[in-house]
Formats: sequence, C-alpha cells, structure tokens
Amino acid sequence: MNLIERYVSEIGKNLPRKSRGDIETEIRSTLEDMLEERAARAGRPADDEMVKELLKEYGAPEKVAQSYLPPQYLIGPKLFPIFWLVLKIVFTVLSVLAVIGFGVRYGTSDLTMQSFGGLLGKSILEYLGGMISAFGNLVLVFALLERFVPQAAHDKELDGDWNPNELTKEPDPDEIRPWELIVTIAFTALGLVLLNFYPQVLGIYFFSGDVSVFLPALSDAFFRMLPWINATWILGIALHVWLLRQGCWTPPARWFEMALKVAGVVIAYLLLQGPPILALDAARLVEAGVEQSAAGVLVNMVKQIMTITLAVIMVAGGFEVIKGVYDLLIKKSSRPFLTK
Amino acid sequence: MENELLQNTMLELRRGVIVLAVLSQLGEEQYGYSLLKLLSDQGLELDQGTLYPLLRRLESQGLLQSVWKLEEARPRRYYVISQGGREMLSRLKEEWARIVFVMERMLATDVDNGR
Repeated sequence: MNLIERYVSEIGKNLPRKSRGDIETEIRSTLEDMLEERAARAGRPADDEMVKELLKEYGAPEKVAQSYLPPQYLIGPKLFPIFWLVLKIVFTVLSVLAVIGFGVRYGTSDLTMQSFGGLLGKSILEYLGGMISAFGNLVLVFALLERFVPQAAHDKELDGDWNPNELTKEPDPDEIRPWELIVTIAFTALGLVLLNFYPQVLGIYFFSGDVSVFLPALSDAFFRMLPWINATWILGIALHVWLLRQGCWTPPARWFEMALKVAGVVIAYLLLQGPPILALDAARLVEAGVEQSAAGVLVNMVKQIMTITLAVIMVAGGFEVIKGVYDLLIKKSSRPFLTK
Repeated sequence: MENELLQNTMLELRRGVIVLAVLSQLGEEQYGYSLLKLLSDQGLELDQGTLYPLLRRLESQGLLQSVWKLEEARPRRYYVISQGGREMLSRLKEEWARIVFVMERMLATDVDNGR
C-alpha cells in the first residue's frame, strides 16, 4: 500500500463510518492533484521524499480527521453547569451523611485511641470511595445525556422571559432582621432561666410502673462555668436589644459581637478540657433499671454528642471570628458575618 | 507571543469572511483543490483543512450542491452554489457592504487618527 493510501486510511480510522468513504476519496484526489503539481514544478517525477513532504504539510491524520468532525465533548458546555450543580449537591449530601454515620459509629464503639483511629481511617476510605463512585455515575449519566439527547433540548431559553424585576435585592450588610433578633433573645432568655432557675429539669427521666427516677444530666463542673455562660448570654441579649433599638449594625457592635464569640469559644474549650460536664454515668443508669450494655452505649453516645457539639462550637466560632476580623479590617465592611 | 497573538487575531478576522468568499467563487463548478488555488490566486490563502470541511458543511446546509465526476484523471467532487446559496450570498453581500461602510467610518476616527 503506498504512502498516500496509508495516510488516507489512517485519516479514515478517525472518521464516522457514514462519510468515511466519501472523505477519503476526496482527500486522496486532492493529494494526488497536489503531488502532480509539485512534480511539475520540480521538473521531475514524484518520489517518496516529495510525498512525505506533502503529507507533512497536509497535517497529522488525526488533526485532518478532527477538522471534519464537530466538537466532541464528554459533557458539553450547555450541560456542564447543570452537571456541576448536581455534583456539588451530591457531594454535600454525601459529606453530611458521612459525618453523621461516623458520629453514630463512634458513639456506639469502644472508647480507645486505636478504635477511634481505625474507625476514622475506615470512614475516610469509605467516604472517598463513595465520592469517586458518585462522581463516576454522574459523569456517565451526563455523558449519555450529551450523546443521546438532541442538542435543542439542551438549550435553555435564557433571554425569553427574563424580567429585571426578578433580580434579588442586594442584601445590605448592616441591615438587621428584627424577628431573627427577637427569636434569639427569647431562646437565650429561656436558656438562662432553665439553667439558672430550673436546672433540676435537665436530665433523664425513667418511669417504671409507679416509680419514676430522675438522673440529672449536668455535673458540678458545668455549673461552676455557669456564671461565665450567664455573662456572655446576658451581654448577647443586651447587644441584640441595642441592635433592635439602633436598627442597624455598626462596627463597634460587630467588634462586641466578636468578643462574645471569642468568649464562647474559650468557654467551650474549658468545658471540653476540664472535668466531665455530664453527670450521667453507666452505673447510675444501671441503678435506675437500665440494662448494663444499653447503659454503656447510651452514656457513650451522649458523651460523644456533647464532645462533638463543643468541638463544633469552637471550630465554627473560631472560623466566624477570623472571618469577622478579616471583613472588618481587610474588607472594611461593617458586616463580617454572612446572613443566613 | 505577540506575533502569535497577531496571527491568531488575523486568522479570526479572515475566518469571518471565508463563507462569503467561498460562495462568491462557486458560481461555476469547482473541485476542492481548484477552489483552493482560485482563492489563493485572488489573495485569500486557505488551509485545505479549513476549506474541505467547510464545503461539506455548506452542502449539508443546502448552500452548495456537489457531484462526483469520475471521467477525469481521478475522481473529483465538484461543488457549485445552489439556489439557497445564491439567496444567502445576496444577503451576505449586503451585510458585507454595510460592515465595510461602518468599519471605514470607525477606522477613519480610530486611535491612530485623532480620537
């Protein structure tokens, strides 16, 4: 098979079957015309060198074939934004489920560093496996949509009914939301009343026939921190009341809010690191009539939930403080914290 | 890098007129290579990788007709403008005249000429 024939055949391998023969014939004919012209100009018959030079100029077979084909995408530009959005949603849901699953498994496992490490490692591997599998499935679905759903169906009429009145209002960073503040004040006040005047209601109640047993949940270690908790919550209420009267945020109010958040983080840290704040223990539950194995699991779970909650308060609070400082100092915005 | 940018920009500019140029030269039958030389002789250099797929696309859009001629030295596909292509050419020529008018006016007062 001569060089031109091999070249044309190579191009044909990358062309759709339907138009392959036609295009190959046309390219072959063109190359022969070009070769004839070159030979005439050179004053000598065409030879292999001349053919190679011609083919080199004509271009690599894959590139020539590509010029005959429309752009080929696995997921095209019209479907890609939807794919990206679905991917983000799926990854978010998987992440939340992974955290919950880990929390439940940890809460029901033995409390050793080794078991924690092993469980964490296993959970991470399962999480990564789940993410890769979800990603692959999504790519497959969207690739099939790209391939088999007509292009016209991908087109979304973006301009047709668009109305400028539908543009969402740019949020004013210093605007307060009164109902949000009122609800926060109410719940904070309720928490203060509960912890300070009715601590005896915070615990676990057991009823067995005519006998009722109450086990307080919070220990003395917690109540020793209560004055500090009271102080930050009362100051928080004062700030919100001031904001309701003022009608908007100001930089000093932001700094004050951040100071309260720092105090919250410090309190959470002290509660986490200090003596146990839970008064519950398995022995007391067993005395109250709970089965031993169930008592152990229950106490374990409650302790883990408490630990995770305090850790989340610390991390979230820390993040908000850092962001707040950045916004106030770098962005010079008077609203460092995102609206919900 | 600057030269590459210039080359690419000029290519984009030329790309805009290729369809008009091709349709305007297919009043009489031409095969791919003869059309390439015809355009080149008149100052429009085109890559065969650009022209041949374009001819197929214009045919699929109904602007050209083609026929294989087997009686010559080698089989050749001859293209000629269709009725739909003539109508399109007429509209494109009007649009081209308008663009030339607008551009000449803009370029008369561009950054190099005192604006």
